[in-house]
Amino acid sequence: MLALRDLSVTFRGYPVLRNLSFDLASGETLGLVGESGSGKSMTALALMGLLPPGFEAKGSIRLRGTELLGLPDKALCRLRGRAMAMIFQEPMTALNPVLTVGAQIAEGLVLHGLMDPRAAMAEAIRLMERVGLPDPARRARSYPHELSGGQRQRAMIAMAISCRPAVLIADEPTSALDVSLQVEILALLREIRAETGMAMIFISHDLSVISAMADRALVLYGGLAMESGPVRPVIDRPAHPYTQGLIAAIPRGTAHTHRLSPIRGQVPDLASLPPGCPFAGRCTLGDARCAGTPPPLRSGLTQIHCHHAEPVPA
Amino acid sequence: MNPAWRHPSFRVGAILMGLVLGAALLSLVWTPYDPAEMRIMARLRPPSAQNWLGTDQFGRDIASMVLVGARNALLVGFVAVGIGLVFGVALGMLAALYRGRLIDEAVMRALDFIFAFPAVLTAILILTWFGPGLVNAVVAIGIFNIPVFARQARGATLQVLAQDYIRAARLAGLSRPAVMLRHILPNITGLMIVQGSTQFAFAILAEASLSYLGIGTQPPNPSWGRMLNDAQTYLGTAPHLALVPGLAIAIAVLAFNLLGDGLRDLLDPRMKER
Repeated sequence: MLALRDLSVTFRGYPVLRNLSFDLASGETLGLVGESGSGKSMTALALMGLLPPGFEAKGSIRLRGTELLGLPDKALCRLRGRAMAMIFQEPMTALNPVLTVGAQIAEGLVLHGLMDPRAAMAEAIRLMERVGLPDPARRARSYPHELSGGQRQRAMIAMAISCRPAVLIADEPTSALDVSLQVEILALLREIRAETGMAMIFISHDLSVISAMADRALVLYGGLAMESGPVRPVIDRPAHPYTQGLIAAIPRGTAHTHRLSPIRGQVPDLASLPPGCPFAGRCTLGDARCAGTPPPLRSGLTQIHCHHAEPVPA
Repeated sequence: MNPAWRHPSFRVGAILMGLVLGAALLSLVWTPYDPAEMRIMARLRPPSAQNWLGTDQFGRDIASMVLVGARNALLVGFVAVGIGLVFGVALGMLAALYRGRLIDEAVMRALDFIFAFPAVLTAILILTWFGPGLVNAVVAIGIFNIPVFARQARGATLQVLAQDYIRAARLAGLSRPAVMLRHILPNITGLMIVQGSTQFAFAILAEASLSYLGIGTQPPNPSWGRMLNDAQTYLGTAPHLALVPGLAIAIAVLAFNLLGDGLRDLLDPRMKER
């Protein structure tokens, strides 16, 4: 349903995203994993056609056969919120403080011509009940500041699913919430996904969240897909040295017996990325060839971009 | 009790504005005398049972003139602020939307040019060009109000544009103009109303100044500023002539300044009671 082919994003000539390709079917969830600055959020914004000024996208994004790149803003406006919706990290600032929560949820329904304002408000209240907001009829008349962080994130989800989008992009939807709330929100998203059959792109730096939510995982580093494939092999039997390092770095509650094993070095500046593999300077297998030549794509149980590592045989 | 009443500035401002508004409305249906009627035998009378606030040098009833003057003052305020608000907010939001581009620079520098001259001086210039009179005075004050609102609207719009919920609105499929109207305008309305209230006070004062100089409201149409001018000659013998219109101007200006002060606090939805 959604197909990315060789999507590249550059900012003033610097690569932000390099030749990203993936497919997404209805009801399927793709987990995008990566550190800050790896290009996760840029992928989301490129999909929505809302890259900040100065960023340029090349390649192809097809949604149900329609090419999105190069589509005029007017046509994109009809798709945003309707065919694709997005929720993001900061529920505290993502709601307009001077409009009631109900009005903001109903807005999309009216905008996309699905309902008249009165029916949209009734639907907004129904949606608020669906996402587990208490006393929805009263809450619909509340302003965002009267809601807690978790409630606001629920309201954001109600907004995003109001028009029953085919694809929901969730950009770190639980990172700003308490752990107990995270679990509730993730469960809610899973329920809604099952009900509506929408496809989901779930962006997170947290591998445990990805393993709980995604069917497939794609590990990004420096704008390049390091490893991708079904979520279990990517997490349980990673082939790429970066994925291996990422998983080894997760604290396991054994700090008193084992040292934590961080990935050495730092995430490189976008401007100083080598032309080859972005992970070259930090990789345990890295040599001169890595920095100079882009790594080839090799397929096995998972797909990896690497000169050295062998993919786990399928 | 309405929470607005608990705000002291708002309460005092609202009462004073009610006083001015009441006087203006009353003058539409009733005044003690015809404010233009001259009774030369009853000139320069101090306040009495016949003439509550006395009479001026032509024997005109001052109470009647002050009432009609309130009407003119409010009219000037509404129209001058209206001109400034409509054009200023539109230009300011436009400039913010195209920040840093030619249209932003062109609009804001043109408005800076107007703003560079003192308001009353600009008004005098316009009035000497187009001729004195109430209508021209109102337009002149209104034009000066445009850059005031435009600057505030631009700054406030830029601030709102940087918020996540604007991105969220765009992600929900709203076009840029729709975002402007649905999400940005309501966010800056409070600020604009507050500024409007302050500019209202300023407009009343500016009209009084222009009329005092003789190029605003023309006789026989009464104006507080003109009354002050007329009173000047008799300041020693009949001080009430200056005191009454002076007090009226002070009350009106104070009313709108206090009101603006109170509204600034009250219109912030974060201040609303839970």
